[in-house]
Amino acid sequence: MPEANFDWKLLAPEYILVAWAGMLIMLDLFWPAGGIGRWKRLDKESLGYIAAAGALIAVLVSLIWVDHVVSGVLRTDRCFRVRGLRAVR
Amino acid sequence: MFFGLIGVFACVASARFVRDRLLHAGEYYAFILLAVVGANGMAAASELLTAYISLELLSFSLYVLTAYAKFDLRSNEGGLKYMLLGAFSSALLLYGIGMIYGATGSTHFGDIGRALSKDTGGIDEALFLGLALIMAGLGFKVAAVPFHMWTPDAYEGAPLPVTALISAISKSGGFALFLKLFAEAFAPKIDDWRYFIAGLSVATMVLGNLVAIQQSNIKRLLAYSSIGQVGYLLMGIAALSPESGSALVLHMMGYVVTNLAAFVCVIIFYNWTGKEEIKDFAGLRDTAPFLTWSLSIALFSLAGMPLFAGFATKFILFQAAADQDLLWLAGIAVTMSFVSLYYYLVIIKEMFLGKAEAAVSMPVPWVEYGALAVLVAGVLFIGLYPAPLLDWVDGSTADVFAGVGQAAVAGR
Repeated sequence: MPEANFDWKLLAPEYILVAWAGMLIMLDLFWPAGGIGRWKRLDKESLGYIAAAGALIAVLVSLIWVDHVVSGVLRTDRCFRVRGLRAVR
Repeated sequence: MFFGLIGVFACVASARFVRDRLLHAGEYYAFILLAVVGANGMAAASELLTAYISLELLSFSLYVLTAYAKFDLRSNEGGLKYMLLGAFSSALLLYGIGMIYGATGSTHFGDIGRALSKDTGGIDEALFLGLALIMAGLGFKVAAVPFHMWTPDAYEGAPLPVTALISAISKSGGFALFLKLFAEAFAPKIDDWRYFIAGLSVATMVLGNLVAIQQSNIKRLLAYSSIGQVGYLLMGIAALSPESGSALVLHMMGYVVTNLAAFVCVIIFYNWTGKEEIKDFAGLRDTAPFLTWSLSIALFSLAGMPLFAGFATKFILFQAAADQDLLWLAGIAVTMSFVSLYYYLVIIKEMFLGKAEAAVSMPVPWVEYGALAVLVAGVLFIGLYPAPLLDWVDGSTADVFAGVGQAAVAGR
């Protein structure tokens, strides 16, 4: 069996992006038309800014957290190093 | 991080557009964020299957987004063409991965590179076929000629912010993978593929720039212009070295910032008018001076004029190619940059010298203008002072060339 060796900690920005994507769909589907308390109806334009905020948070986490461990544009490959999947020759 | 920033600008640029023209906003933004995840994975992958899965995540998000304007036939057509040709290229890529795995016994870039370093004989058939299929598959994804057929229709049909996203994230993700794969895995056989990539680069920059001259729709023009830019980026792969790798990433960053600036301008204009023909930009200087100057800066930068990002990044890239005995390729690239100046000037001429049909003052979309100001500042910063960015990029690409790739390139 191939042995996975993902460094899950370094995938924090990706978790944030995926969770944010799920949250956006939920907000769009289930936000009440009349709003909740002080919060008025959530229009389509606001969703765009919420999505942008999510991407920005992921960027900041990349800069602060991931780059602290492995810096640079193309260096985060440690999180994707998977052992196994080698042919027996 | 870089792809995340693309996502931020894509979401901000989409906000009003989606409000006025699209349904199901939640899913729309979710797909943008998933595309960012896919691009992150492509740049980070050091193993072929991880790269493939990341590429598919990016591609599927973009297929859906391209066809998102449900009641627009052009959007449906563009999405369908993009998906069919994308599926075809994915199959080629996967088949190529299989051939490489069969020839070298691994899907890891480093292991493939080590296996190829030991093989001192000529390139064997399976490896050659695998390499050719991977080049074709990735060529489709980054829209290199002759695998570019989907680009104009997908660009024209897709909702404008999606066109911006495709032009930025699909190319930058594709080239990050291209660079890592060829530097870490295929560098030992560089003499077998270098001139093939150089040929693709020439065909891409010549066709992209020459066909762009004939376009009257700004989305199609930017589509062909982006094909031309892919030709320049392929030079960085053909001239594979630590310097050309850094130059490629730098040019990619400059191109993405510039292209996003151009697209944000076009999106703002489209939100106002609903028009996307070049002649519709006539007299824009009188109605929206900030937009006109911003678009002019972006277009001059794409053409590679001094003071702007395009000049600095192209200069470094062409120099890196010339250092690797590809002076002829750099010469063709310089010539094509001059050709591209012509069709960018046509738009600038319309904006400054054309006569508007009706002089109407446009409302100021502050958020979009803010995003545009940041992008234009980025274009000027990279153009005037690229050193800090180049140092940062050097540090990143040093890791890519640290292993077997560097040994092979240095030993050539």
